[in-house]
Amino acid sequence: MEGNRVADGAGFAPYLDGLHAAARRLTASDHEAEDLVQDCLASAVRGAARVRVGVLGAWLHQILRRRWYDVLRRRGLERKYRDAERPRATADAEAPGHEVVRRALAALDAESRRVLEMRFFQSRTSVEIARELKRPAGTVRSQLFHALRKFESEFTRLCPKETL
Amino acid sequence: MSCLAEDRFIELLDQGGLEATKPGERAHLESCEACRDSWAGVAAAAEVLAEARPRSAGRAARWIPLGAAAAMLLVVLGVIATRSMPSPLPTPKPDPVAIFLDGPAVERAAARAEILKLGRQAIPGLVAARARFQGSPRFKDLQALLWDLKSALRQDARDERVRRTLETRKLDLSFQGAGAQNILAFINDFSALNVLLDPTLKLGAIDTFSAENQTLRETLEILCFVTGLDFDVRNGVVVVSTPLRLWSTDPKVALRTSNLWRTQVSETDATARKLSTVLMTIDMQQTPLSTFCDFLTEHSGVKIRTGAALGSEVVGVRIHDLTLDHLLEFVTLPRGWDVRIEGDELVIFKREE
Repeated sequence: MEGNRVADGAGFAPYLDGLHAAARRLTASDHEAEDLVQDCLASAVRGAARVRVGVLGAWLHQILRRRWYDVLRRRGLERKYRDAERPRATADAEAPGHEVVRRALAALDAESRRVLEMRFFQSRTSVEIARELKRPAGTVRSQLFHALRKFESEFTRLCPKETL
Repeated sequence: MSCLAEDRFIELLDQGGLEATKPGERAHLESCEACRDSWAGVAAAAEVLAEARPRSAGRAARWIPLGAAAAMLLVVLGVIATRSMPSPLPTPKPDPVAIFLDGPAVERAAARAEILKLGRQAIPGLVAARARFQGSPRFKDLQALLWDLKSALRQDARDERVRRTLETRKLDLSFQGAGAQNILAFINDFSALNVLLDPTLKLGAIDTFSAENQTLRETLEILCFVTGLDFDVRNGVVVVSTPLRLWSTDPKVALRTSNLWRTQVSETDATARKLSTVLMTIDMQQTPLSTFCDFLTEHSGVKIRTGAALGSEVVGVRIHDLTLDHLLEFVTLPRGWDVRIEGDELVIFKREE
């Protein structure tokens, strides 16, 4: 029964206030926060069958943050198209987002960049990275945690914030 | 419970996300805004990075004519992906994999031989590089190297037979809007091989997928490429899962290979002998686990039941002429379950129990 409540979205009610607060912190705008939460809930309903009840709050916040990144990247893309005389092929559509990722990575220190690349571009787990770098796995995980937070901060700083 | 430690968030990412949390952690995440925020930040940033890895499977998956052969795949996309996402490392250390993928032709043969010596540990990097070489003449070389590496891992006679079938049997197929699981089910029927998709995966539909006079191996390679998956032959079964689950050497992440009961009795034990000799053919979809156990008990004579925590679980499996021990492994291990001996019966349980 609980699973059904999640699947049809009714189970999200207890989390709405927290989501709105988080969305306002991210967007600094009531109107945008409202849109972001709506977008988040629409995605959540589509994926609700996969989520385990008990981690719903954390999962919704993860989606909210992800949708916010998408909004930021979409703005970069729209701005690029607006500025360009002629939009390029759709195959190039992800390039601005990737460009921001590349620049955010380039802004990190070499060690943070290295562990992130090993983890996300070479599909290695923290244990495998630790083995290769000959460091304790806990140290590598801690490095990864801080590297991700730094990356996140750079990424959001580099994404264009202004509304078009 | 206190807040989750920094490294625990990364451990959860390694293990597949929130599903890997323990009951106490779940309760804490529900009540602690700081931890929820930390998780949201780390997990969402991880998604962005994973997506930014040079690949374009999502777009490539929209239309993949296999008849055109792998070498002709999306040349333009391949070039764009390579150009738009250069390696963030300033000076990557040259290694055999890098030389094979990017080095001059004269050095590639030696690099290939060296990679073959590296064995399994070279596979994740090569699988991750597939997208970068789509459309390039090296794409086929890359797939051939992966095949050779996988083939060298085990020399089991059943696996050899399956590999031979994959390399020699050709097929035509055409699907529109079908899921990877439907395409694999077709391959399963057509080839009379056991092809199993990791049951924990949720895959979307592929707009168009067609093959004309392609070997089963080529078909599987392209299907796995466009869905971001990979395959391997294990115990006579073609197993399709994520590269991380198939090739990670981290036991917390990799697909396990054997059930707990094997450590409880010797190979000569009567139960062990029965499990490894009884052949099962089964086609059940969305079947309660208890019904599945009853069926196995009835057909094998080995008493099998479910643990209390798995009472409401359902399973789907389609397999023919597979020994009971491997059938149990394929059904239980990807789902995080295991099998142990209790008295005179086998019990399927959740590993966290």
